[in-house]
Amino acid sequence: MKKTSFLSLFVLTALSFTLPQAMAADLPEGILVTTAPSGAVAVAAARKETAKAGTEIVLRGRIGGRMTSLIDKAAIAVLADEKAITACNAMPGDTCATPWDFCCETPEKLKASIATIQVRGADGKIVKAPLRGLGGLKELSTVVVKGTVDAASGKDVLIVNVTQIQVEKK
Amino acid sequence: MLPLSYAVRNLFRVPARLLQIVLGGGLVILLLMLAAALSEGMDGVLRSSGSEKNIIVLGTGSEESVERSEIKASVPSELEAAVSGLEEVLGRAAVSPEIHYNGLLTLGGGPGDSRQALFRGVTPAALLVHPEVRLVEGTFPRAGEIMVGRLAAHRLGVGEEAIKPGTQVKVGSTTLRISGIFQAPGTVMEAELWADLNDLRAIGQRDTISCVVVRLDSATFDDVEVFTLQRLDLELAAIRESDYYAKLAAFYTPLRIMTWVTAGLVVAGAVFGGMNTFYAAFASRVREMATLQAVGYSRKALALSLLQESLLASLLGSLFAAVIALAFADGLSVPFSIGTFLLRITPGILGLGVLGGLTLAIIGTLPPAWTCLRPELPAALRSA
Repeated sequence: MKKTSFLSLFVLTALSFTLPQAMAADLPEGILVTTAPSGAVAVAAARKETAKAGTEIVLRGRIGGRMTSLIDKAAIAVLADEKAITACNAMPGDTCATPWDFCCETPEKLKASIATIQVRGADGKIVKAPLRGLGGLKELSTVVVKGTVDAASGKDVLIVNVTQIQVEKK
Repeated sequence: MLPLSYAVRNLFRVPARLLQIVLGGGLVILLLMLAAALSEGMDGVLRSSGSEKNIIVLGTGSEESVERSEIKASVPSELEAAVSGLEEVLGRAAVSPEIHYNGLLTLGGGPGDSRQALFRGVTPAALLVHPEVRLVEGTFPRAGEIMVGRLAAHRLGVGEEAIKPGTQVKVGSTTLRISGIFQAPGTVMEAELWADLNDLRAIGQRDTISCVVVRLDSATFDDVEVFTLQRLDLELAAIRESDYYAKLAAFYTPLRIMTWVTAGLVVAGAVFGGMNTFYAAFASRVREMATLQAVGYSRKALALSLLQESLLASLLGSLFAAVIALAFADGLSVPFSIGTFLLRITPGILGLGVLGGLTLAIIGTLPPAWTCLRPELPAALRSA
């Protein structure tokens, strides 16, 4: 009995180390940084200005804004403004099971306060590996990302091709 | 063993009873065949309607019904620019913006002559993503025109003359001329009416479209899905066309189950009815069977002879059912909410009918035969 428990514990511990590393292996080297890139702006502020494609940008925000904010199939995540909108769990008495979707906010306000962050590989294609687990990244994690504005961005959408991600430890 | 001619002669000894068994069994087998054809036809049309190579891009939350979906009219061009590896024909990408609309079609008879119809607003690019569509008469619809599917008349419950090319029809308050007839064998599209995308947008008073259908070449489903995930502003979802129709097929599963349950109940009733008939028939032959035993035939040989009789009657019933099914049901169009399918009496379904008939005969004969052959020989010889 003791042997089985020890073995299960060992397997679980081994998996917890190997899985994030296996996923992270598909992402470009050096994407995860420990020091936050300087000059970060809030997502809502960045959305007010229609940045040109290729412009360098540093954003600060929280993972959230959609029910599925961290995509499993690709290195894409939704970044929400920290202050312009409020996550449901920050509202007194709210018992929402998915507070990261910011469903308590109006759709218009939510739309103006989110951005897409994505990681492209050396071939220019979006990396087909999840960002989840990178430096402990999960829903509602606060991150600072550095990258360039994607060509598909416009007045209705801000898409950033990320080259550096710093995940704040709580 | 008793010769087969003995069973054949006995079969025709009471013609009224034979007729009752053949007709009764035949109707049950016919019902079994129709249930199978209905189930196969509906499943087949939904399975054939979706291509593995086609991806439907539609609004999030509308993955269950493309008719409910609304997406920006700019999505097709943005999708085409963002995703490489889509199929191209003569330099043109296989990207088809479409509007799926369920509305009223008014025929020549005026406002009272309106029917619920399935419309699809398309551009010529629709032919690139739906290569199974073939014009059989007339031309592809331009502005002010509409093209009808080969089975649309059945779906609408009108004669083919009512929607022949050149006829004027009304959709909403807009008059459209029927420009042609198309076929798309085995798909739900054959029951639809295709109009120009802009006409349908004006009729529906909308500036959006329902969906974009793209056909993959070297691109993968993930490439299209990534586009839908990164474009938060467009609120899109991607689904394989084959998966979309598979979900619809799953939606109709309870209907198919009900059809089979009904058929099962009728078959069960027929088995008991048949047993009753055979009990009555064999009860009057107890002495005859006993005499045959007395002259040397075994109970097994007699049971086999009785079984031969009912198998022959059942095969006649199966033949009757097959003739009726092929003459009256084969090719019959059956409308359902999203299209029309044809009943096909395939060799497989005919085989199922024969198998059903044989099963009916065996189950319906063995217990009465056992009752007839069970009594001891002296008692059986003295029976009335």
